[in-house]
Amino acid sequence: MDQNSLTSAKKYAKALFEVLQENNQLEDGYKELQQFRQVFADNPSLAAVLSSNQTTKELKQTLVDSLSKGGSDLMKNFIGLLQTYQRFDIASLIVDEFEKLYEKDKKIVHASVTSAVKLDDDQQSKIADAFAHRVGANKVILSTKVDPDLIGGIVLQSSDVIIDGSVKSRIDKIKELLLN
Amino acid sequence: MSIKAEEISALIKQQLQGYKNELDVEETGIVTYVGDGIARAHGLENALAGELLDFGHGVYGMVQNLETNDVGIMVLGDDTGIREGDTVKRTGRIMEVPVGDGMIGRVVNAIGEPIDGKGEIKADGHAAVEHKAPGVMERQSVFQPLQTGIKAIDSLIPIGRGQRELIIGDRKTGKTSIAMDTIINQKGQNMICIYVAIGQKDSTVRTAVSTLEKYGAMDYTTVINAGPSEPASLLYLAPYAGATMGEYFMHKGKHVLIIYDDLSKQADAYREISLILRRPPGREAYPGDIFYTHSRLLERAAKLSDKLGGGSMTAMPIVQTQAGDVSAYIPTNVISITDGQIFLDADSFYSGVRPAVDAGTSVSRVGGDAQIKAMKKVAGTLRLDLASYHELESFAQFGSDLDAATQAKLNRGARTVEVLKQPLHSPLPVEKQVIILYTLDHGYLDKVAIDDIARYQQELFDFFDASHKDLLDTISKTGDLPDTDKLNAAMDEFGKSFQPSKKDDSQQSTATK
Repeated sequence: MDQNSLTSAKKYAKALFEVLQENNQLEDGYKELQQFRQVFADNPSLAAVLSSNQTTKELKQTLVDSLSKGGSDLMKNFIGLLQTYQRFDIASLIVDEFEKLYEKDKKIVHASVTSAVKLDDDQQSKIADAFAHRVGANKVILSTKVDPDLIGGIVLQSSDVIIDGSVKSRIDKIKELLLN
Repeated sequence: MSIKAEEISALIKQQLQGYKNELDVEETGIVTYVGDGIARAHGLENALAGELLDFGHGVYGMVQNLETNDVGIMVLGDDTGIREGDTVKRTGRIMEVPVGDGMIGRVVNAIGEPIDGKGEIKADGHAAVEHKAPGVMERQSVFQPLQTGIKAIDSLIPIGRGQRELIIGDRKTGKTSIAMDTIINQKGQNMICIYVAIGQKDSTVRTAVSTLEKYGAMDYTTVINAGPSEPASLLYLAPYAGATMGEYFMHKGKHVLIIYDDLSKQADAYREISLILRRPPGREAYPGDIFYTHSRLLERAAKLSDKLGGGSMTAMPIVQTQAGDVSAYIPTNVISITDGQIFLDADSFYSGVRPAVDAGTSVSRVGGDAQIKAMKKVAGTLRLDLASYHELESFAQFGSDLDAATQAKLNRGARTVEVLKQPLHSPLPVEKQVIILYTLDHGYLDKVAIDDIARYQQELFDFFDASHKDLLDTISKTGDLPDTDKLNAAMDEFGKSFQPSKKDDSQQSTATK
């Protein structure tokens, strides 16, 4: 993933988002795009075949046709656009960037929680609520991980921010304090 | 020795007082590229330019480039421990170095850590390396002299406290020696010296420190060393760190002399960083902001107004030229930033004229105001004498039949060159410089053979020290020449007692007047 593909993916995603928002199709479009991304995830060679110069035009056309079959008009246009500008290599990147814009709009936040012991549902929902309150989000999608090395407490990570409330980091801090 | 549990637990309690049990909220990024002293990281959306980042295990970085998708980071230290995918944290601070009286007499690296094995430094505080230079109203014009102790400089290119005077010349022409002699001469002058060695061989720096120690100059000097084996980022930062340490004293009303040895290497280090960060190269592949790199550094040298304590920081940057080419990019830049330059000429250096100061191209734009009256009087015609001598020198090689006036000029010129020669690490106090230049100016030297001049000078100084100390004291106290009759009488008295070494030769070579 080089710098330029990320930059272009952001541009495609922004355009896609604005069009869907204008037509009030955000929800439907989002679901459709997720499925579209799933196809690429299930068939890792698909993007390579579609963007390769060695693939014949006919084969590409058949593949594209089957991709856009049953999709909305907008989806068909989007796939057509990708084909015209030979941008299938960044297709899933565009959806990723679109997802970010969508979640920002709907105030949905992803967070991963690492804890020393497994958290039950009640604890998870409490953490999600607390974090949602802190960042002003409508919904927090939590993923959990267990790491016994933490000894106790939890570490919450959401995009760039890490909130570290683990016993391990506190012990490390004391260690640093005593050594200096 | 037994362990005393009570003492230890008291100590630990004291250390733990700083500990607060709160959540760590940190902003992080993921390293996507690392190499050549540079790292790139995704994330860190709110990082600021110049901010310090923590790579963990004691390695820090400085934000240099803020781009659409990532930030370019200059690693301050060893980058071999950093891996792709590592997290890097924001610290919310900018780079700081320790400052204070504890720094004096020490040898430190670019981040202010001691490297002289003399133990920890007790700093008065920390200050940011990048600092805005004093503004217009915070300054006053330069009026106090900074005596380098070198006759050729104090007479022809006087330097004032708060000035920025460039030392420029080819490799091995005595640039560092002039800087060293200037530091040595600051003994008892109420001056704090800072010597910043940028990319100098560690052995050279070791020799310099030994020289300073030998002449007792380390008592008022701090040496900052960023050696060639250190990352380019530290070479780039060292002068700013030095300026910060100097500013601390300047703002306390003290006088500081700071030497950057040399800025060509700092420019090379910054070029390296900029190219790896993929900033567009300009002339000689230096980045577009190379001028600002030097101008903002040298602008920090100042003479503060009396309201702010009247402290000063005199900067003497050193720049190396290639084959005497002063029109290269970095030399022209730094010449235009500074208030004058001391140009060292390779040819005269090898022909034995040391210090090899080129009187024609060296200037000091503000120091004249800071010269003492006595020096102004005796050095007034020096530059002209030298200029006409160098002009006539080439003619004199052809013809033997020269008129008396030309002969006199040639003789005076040859003696001027001889008087301005000075051995290494033997700076002269200003009153003695005035005495020897007075003998030159008033024709006392015209009768002395050229080979005898060095001996004449030494014996003259001894004579004045022994019999006419009052005259020397008058010069150093009032700054003006003593009563001319008395001075002339003393000169005549010495002239009679001086024994030329070879009578016959001297008759031939000075067959005039």
